[in-house]
Amino acid sequence: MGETRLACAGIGYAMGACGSVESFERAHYSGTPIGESRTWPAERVQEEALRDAAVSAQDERVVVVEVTDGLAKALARAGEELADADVVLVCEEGAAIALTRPDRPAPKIYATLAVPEPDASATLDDLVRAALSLYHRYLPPGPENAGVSCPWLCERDGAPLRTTVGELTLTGANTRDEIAPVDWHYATDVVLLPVCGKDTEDLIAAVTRVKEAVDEGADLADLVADDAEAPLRAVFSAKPDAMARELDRALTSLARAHAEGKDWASPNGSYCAVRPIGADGGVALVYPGLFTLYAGLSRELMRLFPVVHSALEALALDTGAVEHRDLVQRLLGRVAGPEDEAGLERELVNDLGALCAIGVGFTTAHTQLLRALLGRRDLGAVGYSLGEVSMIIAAQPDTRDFWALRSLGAMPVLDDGIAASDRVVRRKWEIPDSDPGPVWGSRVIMGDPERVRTAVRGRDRVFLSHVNTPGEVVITGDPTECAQVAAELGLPSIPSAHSHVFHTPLMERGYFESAFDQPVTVDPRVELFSAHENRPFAKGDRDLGDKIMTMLSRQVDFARVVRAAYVQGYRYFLEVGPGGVCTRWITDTLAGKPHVAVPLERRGAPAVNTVAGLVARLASNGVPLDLTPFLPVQKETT
Amino acid sequence: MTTVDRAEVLTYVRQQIAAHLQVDVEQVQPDMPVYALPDIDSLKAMRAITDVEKRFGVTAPVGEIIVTRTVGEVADVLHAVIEESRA
Repeated sequence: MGETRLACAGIGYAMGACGSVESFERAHYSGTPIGESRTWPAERVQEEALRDAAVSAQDERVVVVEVTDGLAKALARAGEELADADVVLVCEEGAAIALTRPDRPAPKIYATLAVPEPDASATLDDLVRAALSLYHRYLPPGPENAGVSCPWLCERDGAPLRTTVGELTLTGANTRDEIAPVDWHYATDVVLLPVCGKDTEDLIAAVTRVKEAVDEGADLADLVADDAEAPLRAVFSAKPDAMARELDRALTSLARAHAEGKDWASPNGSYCAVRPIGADGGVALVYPGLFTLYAGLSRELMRLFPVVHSALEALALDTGAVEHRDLVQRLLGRVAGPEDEAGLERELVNDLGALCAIGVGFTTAHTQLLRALLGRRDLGAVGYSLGEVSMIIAAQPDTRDFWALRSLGAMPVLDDGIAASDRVVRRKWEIPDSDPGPVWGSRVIMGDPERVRTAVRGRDRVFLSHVNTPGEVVITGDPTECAQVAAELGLPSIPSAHSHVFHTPLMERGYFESAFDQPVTVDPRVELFSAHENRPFAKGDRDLGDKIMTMLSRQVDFARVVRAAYVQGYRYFLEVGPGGVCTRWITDTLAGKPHVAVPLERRGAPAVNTVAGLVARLASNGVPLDLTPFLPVQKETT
Repeated sequence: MTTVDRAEVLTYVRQQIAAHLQVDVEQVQPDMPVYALPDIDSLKAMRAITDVEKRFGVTAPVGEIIVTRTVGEVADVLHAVIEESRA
């Protein structure tokens, strides 16, 4: 009996104040308490399970098994009945699961399960939850993830996920990303509603009409009247029951913003450009430095876009970077407090090989998502420091090879992280190990780069290492001298959390040895902007590794790279990976010039709002974009 | 529409900064520049402000203000953003 295997091909659920498997699963994921059972009739629940399994009760032989004396006994009976039945519907009050033979074709199979001995203790409720966790590939809330659900990465061997419920073993089968790589509506109630107009007055009139229709109970799906050619396009972002408020917000403030020549935006991500940039503006992806990884990165994004989850896993398995799997799993979880957060980030910066591999994995997965949303690959790319390595890897036609990353992580100058720079500095400056230090540090200074450049000129232990914007730089070197320079200049400054010898005279090309020797092929449709010469690399350049080594060895002027991309026609800057810091620098650098700079994710901000804001801004400015996955769907009329 | 008291925001800002610096909240006075706080660095300041943003469900232009403003001024910026989001 223990050898019998069944497939869980459909789930019907009305337990708790949810009303459907989807809403139950969403509540389960987010940790929302589930209230008392709804009073759905058993027939409705069973119909849902059969519909989910794409089985018609009329044309299939369906056997119904009631759970009256425990799930295990019911399953054991089902196993016997399955010999003659196509589908076995296992039912309990408020829940039903459609079981089939594992080889039976079905649009989705949540999990396969081994039918246990009749004294197993699992309940049907447990079975539903476990099957959903496997299908969506998330770890249910538990002590190991600080009580919050998080994405569940496959094990090192890439084998399907497995879990147990009581003595029941479940193995993941189909996964959500295979069925719905872009899964906005499953993960959130937020929708985007475009409203178009010839000019601001016409747009306000259109918004007024939409608002009236919403007040009268119209279905939002019926109010979508999108016109990508319209001169003005407001894109509203809200949950359906809050859409009226969002429209009201526009009615009270949009006209004033446009009259002042400003774009209109709301905290929810709604947007209306006053002078849309248009479709001719180039789109560039922005790759931040790799020191900014943080706990929780992409946890929600994977939920909205399961393709990010599968891309990250595929990259890890294909590139052999799976040894970092456990570290990524911890990053996707939740940390218990400031100390844990700082500890995890410290662990990462002390293992630059892992930091780089994980950072590149996330940025590459994000790149794949944005390419899919934009429906194009002719994009620009701008990198910041080590982000230039990310941008090159993400631009490879085949990202199964992480180019220089594996050998780079093993270089003595990187292999023990930040400590490596301490070693280099002590050796070069002949500082004995008995000196407790710190011997090396960086400081962000808010001020004119030329002033700071003049201030450090002639000093041999402080260097201007980064120009972030026309008003923000980083100086690096002896921490005491760095502080002195800032004080003498009388400019506000703050120490950086992490500092390496990159972009200073202490970084020698020889430290990279053969890390960048391998030639790399880049998709010719991607234009790569580098701080190497503050202009794009030549198409087909076979010597990118040499240029990256040079770039890492001298001052980086990100502001100039951004201006170079702007001159080349790029107007949309979409930051991938962790942070959103580059977005601010681009905004500061291009202040007063028409452009859009937005991150795909921002530390601490809900991914739903950030992504909705990004899509709304692009659409409102006229970037060709398929809004379908985000538009309201027709309400069910049954 | 709900509003939030400026004093509540300031208190929370001070508490979060103190937590990330692992100092007593009394060492984080409103008139102190963020950059002059004991053992501060850019990441600790960013983490603290992010926690405030999460608590009140907003995102604020924190990048520059943590370098140039006092604790009280940072709270003012956050308070304005919170009020705007709830308007």
